[in-house]
Amino acid sequence: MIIPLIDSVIYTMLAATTPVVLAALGVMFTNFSGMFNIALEGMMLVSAFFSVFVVDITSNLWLGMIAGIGAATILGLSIFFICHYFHAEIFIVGMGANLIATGLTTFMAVQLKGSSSLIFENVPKLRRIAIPIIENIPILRGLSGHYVIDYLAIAISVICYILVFYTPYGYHLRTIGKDEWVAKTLGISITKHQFISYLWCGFLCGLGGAVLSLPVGVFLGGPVGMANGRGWLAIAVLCLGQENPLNILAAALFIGATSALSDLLQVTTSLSPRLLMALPFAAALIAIVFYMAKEHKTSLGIKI
Amino acid sequence: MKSKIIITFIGVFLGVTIFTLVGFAGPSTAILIPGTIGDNPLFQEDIKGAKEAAEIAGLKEPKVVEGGDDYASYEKKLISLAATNQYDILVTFTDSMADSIVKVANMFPEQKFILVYGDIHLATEEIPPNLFSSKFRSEDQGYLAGYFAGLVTKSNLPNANEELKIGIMMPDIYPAWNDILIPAYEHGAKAVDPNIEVIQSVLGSWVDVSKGAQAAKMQFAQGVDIILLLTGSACMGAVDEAKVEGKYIIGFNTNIIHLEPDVILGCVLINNREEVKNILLRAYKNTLPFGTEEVVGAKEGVVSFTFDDPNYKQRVPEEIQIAMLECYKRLQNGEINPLGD
Repeated sequence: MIIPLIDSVIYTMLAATTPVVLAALGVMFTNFSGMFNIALEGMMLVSAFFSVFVVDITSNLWLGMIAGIGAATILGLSIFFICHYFHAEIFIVGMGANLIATGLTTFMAVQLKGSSSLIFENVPKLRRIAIPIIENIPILRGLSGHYVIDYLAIAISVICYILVFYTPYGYHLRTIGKDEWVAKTLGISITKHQFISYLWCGFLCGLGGAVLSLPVGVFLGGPVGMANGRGWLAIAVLCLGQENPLNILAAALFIGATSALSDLLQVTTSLSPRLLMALPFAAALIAIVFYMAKEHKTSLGIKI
Repeated sequence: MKSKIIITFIGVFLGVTIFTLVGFAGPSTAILIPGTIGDNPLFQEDIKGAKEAAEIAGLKEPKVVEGGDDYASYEKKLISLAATNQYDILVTFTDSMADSIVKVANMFPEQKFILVYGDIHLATEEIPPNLFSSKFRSEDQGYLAGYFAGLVTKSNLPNANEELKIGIMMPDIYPAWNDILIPAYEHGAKAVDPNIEVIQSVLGSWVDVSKGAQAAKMQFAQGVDIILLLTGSACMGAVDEAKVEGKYIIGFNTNIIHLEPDVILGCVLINNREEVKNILLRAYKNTLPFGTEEVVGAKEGVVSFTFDDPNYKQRVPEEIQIAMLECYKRLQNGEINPLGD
């Protein structure tokens, strides 16, 4: 009985990690470029809507995924253009984009299907991929049977790490993040890098949104929506990950593990479900407090 | 010229007045939906029932106001509807509206209010004279679902395991579920075998489908082979997980077997359409006892099960179907106390 439970915890941890790590990597790029994007929740929501809606029309999962990424990218680029060309405050525009995403998806869902929440019957759904050999090894079994986007998320974290720390593009981007003036004197185009960072953010949040709706063929809108706070959690993960993609992956796994632990304790103990439901958010908060305290001590020259 | 204009105005005024009096003769009704209509088959059925009642009574179609997902706005919307003074009867639904409807009923004593499938005693012991409340016996629903889950987990169905564990999943915590429905579910299962254990998960979200799938996976790992899903679209994630893992699901309130007939074996139903229709027809005939509460369940035929569903008939073993019908009859006859002694 214990081994299947461990399998489930590992499985749930990885599944819960994917949308958060993708969104966190997306916001990392915008943070480096000096245009911190807080509209992750909205970008994931539009992606979740358009991906499943296009799959419903075309019966093609790849087209659905592209539509989701496209929708999230368009929303991201809108934020970029509004802020860049009209000098709008990025946080206000980001908040507005989140609200527009909620309103737009709800409105379109109601117009198209008569409801803010859509359950599509008979649409193709993302299939789980079983990894040969691993799927038969107890405990490791939890690593098998995930969706393609789950595995992609891990690969993307590694690619982002290489991109950020071992390519000229990464050096340029990080230079902008450190000091825009220095970047300008080095001849680095800030606008171009900000634009590209929003493309990255759109792509990653789009994937994060698609993984919410495509496996089940469902879109659930409304003020909370099926993103359910993951965009905000991603910002916390970025803080914990200290702008390093691999650290971000580790931080997202930590949040995923607390989510899995919350589910596990619900079915194995008599602890209050309300208390357990708050566990991932409480863990993120405590981790950030410890991180900030450590940063503060370091900045004061205190050796830890 | 002047007199022609005055006569025209008077004519238009009288025409509009006569049209209004003729067109809107009889009681008018407004319905406030505490949520969204589209994704909630229960509310859709409520509206159908209200429309049918209006049609039978030869009245204008009821005005339907969707509350949306902004819970805080429901009470304001109810006050606004009452303040317009345009509707004779205001109808709303669920336990979540109990407090608000009592408050608004006291604010507008001339206005008539109806609360359907909501426990008014969550808000008050004394029901206002202008308010009628109808409550479903959720213990009947819980018992039927638990009895069915117990029969399935003990059965030889291909995906039923040897563990005597059944699950229940809910999007949030509600006193009515915790105090009545879940104990009745457990009691129903234990009527089949006292050793059956009930494992529950609360998702903390009505819309997070992934969370539903993850919680279901955790239950299945614990040895659960059938889960009752207590509404909420987030629970739909559990259906997907059950399909992958080869487990079973019980639907709640409405028949969702067609979504995954191999996974969703049965659904415990409430016939809210008929109930809403009957309540409104009595209200239109002035025979509805305002100031009182009515409790309906299996005995009145309002709570039932998917006995007639073709997938249920095809996939569920005959002995389970017979046992379920027997259980339902005993519940209707009052031979079973769903909450135990």
